[in-house]
Amino acid sequence: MGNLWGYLILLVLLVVQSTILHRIALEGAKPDLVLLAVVYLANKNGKMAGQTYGFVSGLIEDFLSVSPLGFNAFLNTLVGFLYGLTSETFFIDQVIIPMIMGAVATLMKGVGISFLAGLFNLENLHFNLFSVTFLVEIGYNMVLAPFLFALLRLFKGLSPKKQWEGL
Amino acid sequence: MKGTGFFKKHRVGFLLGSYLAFCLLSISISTKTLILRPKEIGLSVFSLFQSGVGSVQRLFSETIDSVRTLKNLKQDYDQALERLRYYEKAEKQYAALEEENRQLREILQFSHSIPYESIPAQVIGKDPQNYYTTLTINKGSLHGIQKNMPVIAVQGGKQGLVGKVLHTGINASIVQPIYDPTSYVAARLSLSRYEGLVSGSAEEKIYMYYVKRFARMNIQSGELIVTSGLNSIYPPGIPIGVLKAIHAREYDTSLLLELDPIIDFGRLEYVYVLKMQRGNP
Repeated sequence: MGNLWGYLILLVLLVVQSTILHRIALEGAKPDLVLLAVVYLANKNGKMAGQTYGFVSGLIEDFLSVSPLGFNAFLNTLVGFLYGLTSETFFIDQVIIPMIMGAVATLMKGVGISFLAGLFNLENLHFNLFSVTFLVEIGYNMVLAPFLFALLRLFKGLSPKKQWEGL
Repeated sequence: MKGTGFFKKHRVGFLLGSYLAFCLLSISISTKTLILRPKEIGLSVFSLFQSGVGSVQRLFSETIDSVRTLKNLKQDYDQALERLRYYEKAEKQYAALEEENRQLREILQFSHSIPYESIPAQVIGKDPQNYYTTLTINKGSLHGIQKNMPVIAVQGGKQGLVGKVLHTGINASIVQPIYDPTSYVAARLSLSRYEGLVSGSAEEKIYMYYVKRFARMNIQSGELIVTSGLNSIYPPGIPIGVLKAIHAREYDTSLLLELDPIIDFGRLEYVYVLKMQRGNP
């Protein structure tokens, strides 16, 4: 269910996201590097590893956030699972496909947040699917996805091909 | 054997179901505000990483600052000499004013009755997601911090309200800033004494709601807005912001005031958590 390097990278990205990335926030939005990394790892490793990467990274996000425990874990697990389904189904180029993957993952997350907000009384949450903040986040994730994917490609150990195929 | 085969075949589905069930159950428990031990422990453990990165970041920025400081030292020295002469004059005036102030306070029976004991803390991170606006500080229940304690900061010699403690871990806490849309602070205009409720907005602006409409004639831009002390969390008299604009919509029975916060949250590094004896519910 994934390897240690994958989890370490997710942890590093999460810490960077919560300590440094607010400096480049626009309209209150900063990029979601953890989500992008989950997308990459899930696509490379399949649905089993993808959902576990998503679950673990989301759970740690919940620990560091005021969100209820399970909120980000739920979102990232779903994204990890769905992108795991796409594993080795299409060719990923350097720029366009990563951008699309980043945008779609962010939209999925947005829909997931709206779903959870409708289901539970989530205190302190202020999310609007049609807000400028969310649009900027989609844009940020689209722009950064090719760079992050290119960086993650350098870590050969992150894609143990065929390990989870057929599961 | 059949059962085992079925489980193996649907292993991914079972695991996904387990993960999602755990998440939903956990959110359900959390939103009913039960005691969140796992969350507190997790906050305490993982905030250590934030603290570590924060330290490295500070090391770099402090080194760069030191070089810059040396460069400007000579210039500052000349300016300091000039200032010294100025302050020698000002000191005499200050002593006279201080005495006058003391006497006036006695006359007005100005009271410092609120027991402010404070815990200094450092901001080590912000919420990883965009949909929560909280800050993480490096002090927790181990240092005496409790939920709902007010948090203030001092910037440029001015004291201002930052927010309140939402969650505490053992060695870290989560603070809700006043620009959070779900934060509400009972406030009043310091001169005209009208009351209202200060809250944030999605654009991270701060507004004062429910100010009586007839106050329009008595208030003007630049007036200081402070906590009124009417709720049980914040002590009275803590500066929140300065009145920036007045919005008087025709269909509204109250005014909407836009504030410039005293604290610049973009460069907030250190805060003080007030150990309020009377505020904790």
